[in-house]
Amino acid sequence: MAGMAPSVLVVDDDDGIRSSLRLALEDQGYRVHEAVDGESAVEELRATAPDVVILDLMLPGIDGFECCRRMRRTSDVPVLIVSARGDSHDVVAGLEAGADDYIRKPYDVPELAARLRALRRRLRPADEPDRVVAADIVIDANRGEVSVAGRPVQLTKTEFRLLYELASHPGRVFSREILLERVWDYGYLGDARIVDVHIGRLRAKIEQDTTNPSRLVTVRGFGYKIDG
Amino acid sequence: MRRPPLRPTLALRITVSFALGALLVSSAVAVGAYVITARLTEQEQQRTAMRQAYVNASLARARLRDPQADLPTILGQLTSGSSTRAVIYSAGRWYSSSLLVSRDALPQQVREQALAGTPVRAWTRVDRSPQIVVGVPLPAVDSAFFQLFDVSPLERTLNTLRNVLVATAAAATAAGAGTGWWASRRLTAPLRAVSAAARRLAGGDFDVTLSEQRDVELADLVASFDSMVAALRSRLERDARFAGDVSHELRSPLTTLRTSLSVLQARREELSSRGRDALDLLAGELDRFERLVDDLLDISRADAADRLEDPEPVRIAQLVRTLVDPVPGCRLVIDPAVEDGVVLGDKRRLEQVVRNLLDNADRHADGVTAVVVRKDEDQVEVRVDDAGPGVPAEERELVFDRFTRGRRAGRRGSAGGTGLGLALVREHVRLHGGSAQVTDAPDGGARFTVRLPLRPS
Repeated sequence: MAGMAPSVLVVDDDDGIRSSLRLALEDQGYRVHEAVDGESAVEELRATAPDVVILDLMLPGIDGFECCRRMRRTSDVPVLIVSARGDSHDVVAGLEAGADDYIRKPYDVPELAARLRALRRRLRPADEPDRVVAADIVIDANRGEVSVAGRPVQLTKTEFRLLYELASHPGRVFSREILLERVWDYGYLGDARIVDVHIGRLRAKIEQDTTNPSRLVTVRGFGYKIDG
Repeated sequence: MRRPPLRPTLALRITVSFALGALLVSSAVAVGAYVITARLTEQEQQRTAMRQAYVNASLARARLRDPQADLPTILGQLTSGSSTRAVIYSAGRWYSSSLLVSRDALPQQVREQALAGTPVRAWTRVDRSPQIVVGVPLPAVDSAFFQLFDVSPLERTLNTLRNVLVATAAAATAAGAGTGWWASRRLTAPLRAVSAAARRLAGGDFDVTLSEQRDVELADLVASFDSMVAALRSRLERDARFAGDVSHELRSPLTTLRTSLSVLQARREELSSRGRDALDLLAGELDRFERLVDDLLDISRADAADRLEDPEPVRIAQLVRTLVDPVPGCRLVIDPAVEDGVVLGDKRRLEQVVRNLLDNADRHADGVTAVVVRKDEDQVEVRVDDAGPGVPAEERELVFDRFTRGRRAGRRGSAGGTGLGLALVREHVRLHGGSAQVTDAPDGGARFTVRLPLRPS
């Protein structure tokens, strides 16, 4: 896909929003696909394989949360959810349904563009090694493959990036703020719940007992770490 | 509004009436009982005394016929009982059965009547002991016989009876007062319950109910009070929800507006200068519209909440520094004692508090001059001083009201404010258990002070 314009799937039932987003995102150099409800969004995802999805949570028919879960069954595409409320329940539920990040309505186009850029970034920061080993976790950034205790693990791009960040500095404790900045490109004002929900999802994939994690550990009052 | 002077409490009035009633009834009974008992026993005593005196008098007369009679011996025989004493007048001389009584113990009237030939009965006192004195003329022997009966036991009995009756009346009065007090408490209990419930309701507690009041007389009041609370509550909730719903519904069109505007802004250079001016106006007002929608939502949420949901630890000094550092011309002083201070709360709301205070200084007072964060016992104090004319004392509470348009607000036109900034400051701070106020800054402007409780370290 190198050299091709990045593509985005906009899922929103509001015609005004879809049309205006098409104009704005095309200005940003995206190819824009549209879907008006959850079912057609899943279809469109299969048909067009976009680089990133903008998903409104309030949809007719199956809602944004269910739509997100269905997309996650077949795809690790980064999903940015749009919340009209911005209240805790919506955001956390959306992230737990598999979304990578959220943005509140009404958003700024520059802010939206920045979030999309952060989501589409490469799987590892520049100048970092391709291959990282921490204890029984092996990461191959070139192939985008991860194995834990010899068994391959399927991660979304954001989960991959988060694991890479933690595993490439074994023993170092990362605060939520640092992780927000390095994985999601947020400054100080990011929402720490994004980190917590992703850590939870990552644990579900790499830990045997998620209530008593042994690989990805919480350091109370400071943040998270992976020991080497 | 002038209110008529308050009457003494209902409870007091009921208590006093009960006590007075009990006093009246019990004293009437006591007085009646005393009077009847006293008269009956006194009459009985008098009859006994008369009978005995006549018997003794006729004995004395029989003995006195003997000219050799030894009067003291006769008197001794006649008064062998200890409680009576006798005096005899015979042949111009007085004889007494006891040294304690003499002629003088007899009232003069008794003596005169008896000596004049009329039997007589009277009450008198000898050495303060009450006596019944009976005088019997004995004309056949030219004498008079007098006998004194000591009725001290009768008087003691009557005194005891009087004391018992007074005590009983007092006890009955006290019991009446007690019953009155209890009855009044019982009677006013529902009133007190209603007034306590109304007070709680006024304090914003809508969980209040009167349904534990089971008195039949109150059934109507309980039902209408409870339904009033329910109506009030649903009304308030609907109002709060309405503002929130409006603000949500406005978000989609706002998003379209904002997105389309940014498409236009990217083509700014293609527009004529009039077109560009219009675009800038549009952008400015859209910003303001959006802030208004946000603030309305926040206010309606604050109205709906009376405490924070899952508060998180927020390092307040760091939060203030992040927001204040980029402000030009503002001095920031952070007390080292509060550098690691943590407020349990909502980071977004706390940011909004600081941001709104900075915005307020910017909009209405030529900008902020100093921000001070200091520790005040178990609270952290954030002060924001500005370079404006200050807030007049009479407007210091008003500035925290919603959509206030005071002199200060009008200073620089609308200048893009929403009219909700300081109201939100107060609401957010209240949710954190803190307080917000405005005073004069030492060098002229206004000083907004927010106090928040620190997590104990």
